[in-house]
Amino acid sequence: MNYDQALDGDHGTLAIAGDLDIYAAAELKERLVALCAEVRTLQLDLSATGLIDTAGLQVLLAAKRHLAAEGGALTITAASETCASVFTLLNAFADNDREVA
Amino acid sequence: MAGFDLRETFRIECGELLVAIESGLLRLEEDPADHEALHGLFRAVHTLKGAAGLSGFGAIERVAHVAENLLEQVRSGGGTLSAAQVTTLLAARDHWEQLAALDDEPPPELAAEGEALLSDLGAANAVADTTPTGAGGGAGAAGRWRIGFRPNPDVLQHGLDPLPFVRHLGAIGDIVDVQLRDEALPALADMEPETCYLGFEVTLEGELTREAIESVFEFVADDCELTIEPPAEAAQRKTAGAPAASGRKPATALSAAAASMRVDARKLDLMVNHVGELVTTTANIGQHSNRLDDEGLRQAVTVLTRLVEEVRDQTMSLRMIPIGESWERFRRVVRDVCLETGKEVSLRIQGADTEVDKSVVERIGDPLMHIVRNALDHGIEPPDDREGLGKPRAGTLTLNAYHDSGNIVIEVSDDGRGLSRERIRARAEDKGLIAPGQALADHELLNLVFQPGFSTAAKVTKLSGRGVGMDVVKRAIEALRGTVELESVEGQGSTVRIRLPLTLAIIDGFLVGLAGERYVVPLDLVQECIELDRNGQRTAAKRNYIDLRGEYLPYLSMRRLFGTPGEGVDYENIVIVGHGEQKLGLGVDELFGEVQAVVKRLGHTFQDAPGISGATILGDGTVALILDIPALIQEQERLAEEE
Repeated sequence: MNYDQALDGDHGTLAIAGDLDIYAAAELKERLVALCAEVRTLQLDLSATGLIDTAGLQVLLAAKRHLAAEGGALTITAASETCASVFTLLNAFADNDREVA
Repeated sequence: MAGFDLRETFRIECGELLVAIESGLLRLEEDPADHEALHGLFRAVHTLKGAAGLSGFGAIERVAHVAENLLEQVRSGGGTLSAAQVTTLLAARDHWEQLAALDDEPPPELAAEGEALLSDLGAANAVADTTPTGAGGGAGAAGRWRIGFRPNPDVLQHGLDPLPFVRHLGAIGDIVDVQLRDEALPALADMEPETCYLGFEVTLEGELTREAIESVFEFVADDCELTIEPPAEAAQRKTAGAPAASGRKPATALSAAAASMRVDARKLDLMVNHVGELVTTTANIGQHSNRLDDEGLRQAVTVLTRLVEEVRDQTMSLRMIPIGESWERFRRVVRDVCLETGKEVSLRIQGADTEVDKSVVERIGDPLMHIVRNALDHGIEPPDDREGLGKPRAGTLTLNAYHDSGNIVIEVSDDGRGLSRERIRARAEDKGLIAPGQALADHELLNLVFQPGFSTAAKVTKLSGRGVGMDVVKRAIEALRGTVELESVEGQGSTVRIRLPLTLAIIDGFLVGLAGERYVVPLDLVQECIELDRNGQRTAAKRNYIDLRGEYLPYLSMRRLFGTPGEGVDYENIVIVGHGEQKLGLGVDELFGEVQAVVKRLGHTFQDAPGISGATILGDGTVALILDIPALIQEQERLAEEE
């Protein structure tokens, strides 16, 4: 799992390379908890993300809800084909404009 | 849980799973459309992944995870595994086997192998053939089904990801809509990353049955709440808001799992030992009760004896397993030998359900492997040779098992080139095993291949002929109180027939006496008993045989064999024992009748004592030695030859 993170005031971007699965979920959660404490809007780049499973997905959903409750937003700006197919199947993050990598 | 070794438990389970994985892969190689095999394979890999993760075998878990993904894709896409994928998965299976044996972190070369497998499986993943073969039809209700899928919170910890099940619905119908139910999702900071909080509401369109939908969730049935609403109800619910019909999967899978349980083999051994003592003690009580001559006591002892015998039989049956389970590995051997040598061989397995004691199965594995390899390597000809001989290009190797009067018989047959009598004779003469031109019966000649140092293979190959000969096989089988014999027709093939006792722990014996000592002859070998007067004894001793109703019967006096001093008895009792084709008249002083003998191994000092295979404790507490009949038959032949 590789994270590439950038902060610009209360706006952050995070690119995730690797699998967003149960093995990565704990680390992803800690990172998102830390990030969400600092930013109001977060853009995720999942173009280099491989697999995504329920464990990974629900962390992203929880982060999105957390930011939305604070008046911010989590958007997915790019997703790998694998991730995009999961999001499409589940109608998750459907309100985002994103490009399919 | 004191004394509960997680890693050891995993190794046992892993061994079984690897067998299932291997046979699943080989079945799929034969018939890629075998859905049941794909199903079983997926389940085995999935279970392996979960078990490996729980027991700290991370390296196994990682590769299994990717393998599972590949299988899941193939499964949900309704496609098939390619030959290359099967080969990669077989390599992964071997990799897991090596990893499971380790106590420490894998050495670098294994770790590198793991990385290679990860990338191979990943690549295979990307090109998985997902050509749908068409969803199963059948009479079902067409329209929009509503499926509520609520995985239990601990589903992830059980190694299951709910997502693929949702996706798999797409293979049986058209997914119209999926609603994520995330009401249970806590605040980000409060989340347990390995707890599942999500649920799914799926609208699925198609001509479907409840069973078809339930089967999609088969693996997760115990880990979820599933509600299925057929089209009419679903439509009605939209208008009237009727309560959802609950459609939890029937508990068939669960009850099948609950119907059997895993028991430590050591506990069984301990139990068999205790039951053995119980049998002995009961016999002891029986003897005392006979002496006391109390009718009530005698009746009670009769009932007790019957009950103890039932307990004994049931205990022994606990240790009985179908022999076929250990044969699955031969599929792999056949496959690998074919790849290596270019031969074409199909393996036929018959009588796989034949049950035999677990310890027999374990100890016959290596000798059988040797025989199978011999048949593959030396028996079955290359395809072109076979075609030239007018045989089908593909040879057939048959493994067969059946019960025969207290024994299990295992046959390994091939339709290959058979054994050349001339070459056996030449070889045996060359090795000095027989004198040049010595007259031998056909089966004697054939069975020379079991002599130490004998090997007819003209060339030493990687597979067999590495100095381990059929003599080792024969000794291993004899150590199990079994026999092995060979039949062969030149040009048509060979059959190796192994005869083994069903269990090694208890035998029904026939108690005989010699000069005050008692000995046990395995009862299933006893054919009849006759008497021999002093005159007959002298003649028999001189000729080493008895004329039994005009037939030749080899004779061996135990008195002579054991060098017992004394005059002997006026009427010597001859116990006629038969073992396979061979017979022997065994001269003893007295006959006592049937006895149940719990076999105890002799200590280190006496384990090589000729003619004795073990000992048992009799009802009165004295020790009786168990006679090793095959060894005595050989001894008689040797003595007769010397004179």
